[in-house]
Amino acid sequence: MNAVIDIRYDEIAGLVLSALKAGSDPLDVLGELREGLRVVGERYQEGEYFLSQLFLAAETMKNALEVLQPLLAATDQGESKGTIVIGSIEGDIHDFGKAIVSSLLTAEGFHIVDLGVDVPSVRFVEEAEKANADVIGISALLSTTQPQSRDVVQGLERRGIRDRFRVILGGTGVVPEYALAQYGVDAAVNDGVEAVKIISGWLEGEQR
Amino acid sequence: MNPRERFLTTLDHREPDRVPLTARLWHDTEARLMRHFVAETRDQLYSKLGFETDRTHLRVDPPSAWNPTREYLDFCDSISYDPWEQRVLYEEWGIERKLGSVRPGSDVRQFYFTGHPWEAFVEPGEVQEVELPDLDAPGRFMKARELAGRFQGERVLVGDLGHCQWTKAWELRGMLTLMKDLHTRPAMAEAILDRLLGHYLDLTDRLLDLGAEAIRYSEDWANNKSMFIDPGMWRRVFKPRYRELFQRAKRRGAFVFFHSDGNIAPIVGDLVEIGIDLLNPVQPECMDRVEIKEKFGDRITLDTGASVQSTLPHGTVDDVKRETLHALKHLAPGGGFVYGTSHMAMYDVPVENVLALYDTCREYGGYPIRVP
Ligand code: B12
Repeated sequence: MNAVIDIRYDEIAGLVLSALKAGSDPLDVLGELREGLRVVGERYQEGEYFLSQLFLAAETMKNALEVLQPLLAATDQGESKGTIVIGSIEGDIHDFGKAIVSSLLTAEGFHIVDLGVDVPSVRFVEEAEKANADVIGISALLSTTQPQSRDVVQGLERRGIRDRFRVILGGTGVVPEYALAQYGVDAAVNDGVEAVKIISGWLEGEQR
Repeated sequence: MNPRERFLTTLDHREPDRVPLTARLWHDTEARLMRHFVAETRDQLYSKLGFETDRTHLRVDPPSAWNPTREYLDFCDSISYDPWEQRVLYEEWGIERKLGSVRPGSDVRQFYFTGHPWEAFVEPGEVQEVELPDLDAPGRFMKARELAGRFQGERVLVGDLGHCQWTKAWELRGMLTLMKDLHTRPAMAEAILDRLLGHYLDLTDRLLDLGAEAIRYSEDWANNKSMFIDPGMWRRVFKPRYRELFQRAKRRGAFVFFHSDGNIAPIVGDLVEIGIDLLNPVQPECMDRVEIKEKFGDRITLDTGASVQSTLPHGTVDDVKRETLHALKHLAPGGGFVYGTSHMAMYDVPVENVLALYDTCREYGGYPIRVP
């Protein structure tokens, strides 16, 4: 747990291996690490941790997962918790936010399909269908590009598949109340930790 | 008062005749305003909005031997960017870009970074070996010298260093790689920053030699909520280097202008301590400007403006007026204040909202401030 909180990026794989050698259950190790990441998220939201710490903690977790994954394969934790198609929408080339939130979601056990930047709204719809995704994640940092999340929602409606996907909009200037009222998305955030909570809530709720 | 005197007075924390104004307009917004006023030049547009340009930026130019290809000129043309500026900002450093869209369905384009020339470096030593743009190349300061001659005494001459530490470093190294360096291989990050420091100290001297009265540093340190790195790390790694840069300008009597987007509240005090004289844009969505004015208003000028993320694009004319009056009332008294758009007003900003902003400033921006 502390290895994630303290961002022991280079050492984590070795630490996990020695815990396993000493007889720890991989599921327990995973639980510990996830708890570490949760603490990091909490510290971020409280303004004690900042973006690079959030990113590096998620990357540290990913290094640990590489070691753990083969052992988890046999358990239900080995499966992905859900698929998220994500991209920066057309007209938007900002991608740090997308990268950091993708890292966090991967570390949490979600499968990410990254469409890149400057992605037309129809592609979100097509790719989500193709990947049989659970969630469509739209990154839009500009006030000029955020309204296009409405096009994604309408694209889904036109195809009669709106209820198959949840749609979440994220980006620095997003004002959640405004975006929810204007664009018809299911959630809108300007904070990656909040996003992970919302998406986990949706998908874990469904598994139950 | 001419624009230069007005700006210098506010920088000196005294009240000029009226609040100095600026505008940052996306070319499309600018074009719509020009049509509205039937203005032909930017200066004409500004005068219709009620102000005159008060500063001229002196920047490094490409060497005169540089002969741009048609293809390159077209690239710049398609993004409405100045090829000379693009050249020295990115091309000479080997930072790769590609064209993307900025307004779907239109031909307005924007570039994005696709390659970072220093990303593959493994050893800090490699940073020492790369060749940096040669500031001695003939022609380097041709345009800057011309501008300095033309506007000396009329406008404040600002030596524009632009991205010089954090932002330049991630452009060269990749943001996520630089973050990894800072956490896991600090020697690499420091080697990059030191290499840049040497270059930009040299550039500072040259801009001062040309007559720059202020040096401007442009580094984006945050999104609306959070800084890119933690303020403790910032103080350890970046603050000493900024101090050295700022000192270089200050010891020759120049002002220090600092730009950073986002919520940089945790480091404003540090920036003031190491000598900034002006902070831009103090984004209204991110920081409590009144609090910053109260704490630091006697030492720094707030060069700020109306929200380009919400009020200008989404608000009504009344919302813009209200935000502007609030800013004038709380931030303008005593000087140390410049107002305009907080950043680029893009194509989603209605003309009426821009007019509301400047009309309000014309009506209420005279000193002493009398806002109801
Ligand atoms: C870095 C930056 C750039 C870089 C981007 C490099 C890159 N590869 O990403 C460069 C220099 C290229 C750039 C260009 C431009 N930029 Co810019 N940029 C920024 C800046 C400083 C920081 C953005 C950032 O990286 N944040 C860090 C990340 C981690 O934060 P984040 O995006 O908020 O992400 C978090 C959450 O929002 C969330 N999240 C993000 N995406 C998603 C997606 C999903 C699905 C979910 C669930 C969550 C989620 O999780 C993340 C972690 O918490 C902001 C300033 C600001 N205040 O934010 C301006 C800003 C966004 N830019 C702005 C502008 C205007 C531009 C340009 C038009 C400037 C110009 N003149 O050319 C161009 C636009 C290009 C284009 N077509 O998109 C304006 C937008 C204003 C507006 N009207 O809305 C801003 C706000 C600056 C300002 N002060 O006004 N920019």
